[in-house]
Amino acid sequence: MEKNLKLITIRPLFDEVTEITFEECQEVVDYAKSKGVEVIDLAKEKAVRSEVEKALKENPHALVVHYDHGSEEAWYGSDEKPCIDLENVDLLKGRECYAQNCSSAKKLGVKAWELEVTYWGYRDVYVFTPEEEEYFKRFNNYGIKLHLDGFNWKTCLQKTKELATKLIDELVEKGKALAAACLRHDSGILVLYDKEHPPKSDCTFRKMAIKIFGAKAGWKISWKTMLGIAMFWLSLGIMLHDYCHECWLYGGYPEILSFQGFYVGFVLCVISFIILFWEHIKWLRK
Amino acid sequence: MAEDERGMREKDILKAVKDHVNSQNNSWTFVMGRKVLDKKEFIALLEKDKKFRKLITTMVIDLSIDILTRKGGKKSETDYNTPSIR
Repeated sequence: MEKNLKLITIRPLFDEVTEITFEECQEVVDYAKSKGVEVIDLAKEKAVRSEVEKALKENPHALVVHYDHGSEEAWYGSDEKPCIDLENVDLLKGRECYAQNCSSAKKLGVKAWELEVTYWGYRDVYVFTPEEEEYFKRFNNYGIKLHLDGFNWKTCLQKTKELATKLIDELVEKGKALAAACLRHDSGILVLYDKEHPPKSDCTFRKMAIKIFGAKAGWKISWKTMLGIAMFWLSLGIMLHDYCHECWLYGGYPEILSFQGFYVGFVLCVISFIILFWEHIKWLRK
Repeated sequence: MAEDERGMREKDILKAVKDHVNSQNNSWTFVMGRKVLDKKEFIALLEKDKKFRKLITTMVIDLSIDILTRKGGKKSETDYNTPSIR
């Protein structure tokens, strides 16, 4: 375990589901304290945006844990409003985040990863059956407890997924097949983003961008930039075609193949585009 | 597999899920994000919501594939009760 590790736990309490996860997180708080870790516990009415932002600013290196409701772009607080979203995700920069909530790994997690955050989270809706809550609790808390024991995140993920397999078997043996299916689903959508494990995309264009420019630039490059690039090359193609057509009308193929000032300009235009674009990619990779 | 046959298979899965849910205690609930569904609500949603139906059938199929494709069935010796296993 890292020396002077601090833990910020955000655990709202405002509905039936948060009542369950609030208690689950209590186990994490107790476990961390038993390990000598300083815990800043933002529970109940303290689990709101202003308090979360304040704690994050005052503790720039603390590990952040959030239990329960989330969406693709936010973690929710006790006032049912986002306490972390795309607007204040910068506050997570460089940290480790354990997002035990629905779907936040899909967009917020990717944005956080771009800010060099190690992000543990789910890329879809989390499902469970409260009757078998003990099984889900063990699965939910295992990763963070292992990390507090000193394991790296990659090992934590691997061991948590192994635990899920064991718990699934136990649930099936108990005749709780639907609960087992829920746990299988949750284990399947659990992801870790860090330097060695960049997020994966379902979008074909994003996949292409990641393959061509690498994970960091591939995730940051916007669709507008890609559209601009596509339009640039299309317009160059149209211009070249039209110019060659004019040359052909004027003097046939020999005229097209002869040295023309247009070609020099065209080549310079392509080279300058490549230089500018490469600089843009280098900037995105920073 | 023909489309009709695939539809039939999905019906079989959904019937099995409904039977399974019906056999649970009356206090049984299912949580999906913010939604908490009791037995009746779960079955009603299963009948009317295509997206939910797809989620449940996918979950059941994934579990079946997972169990069927597991290598060797060798039990892990790790003690999962205690995270401090170093």
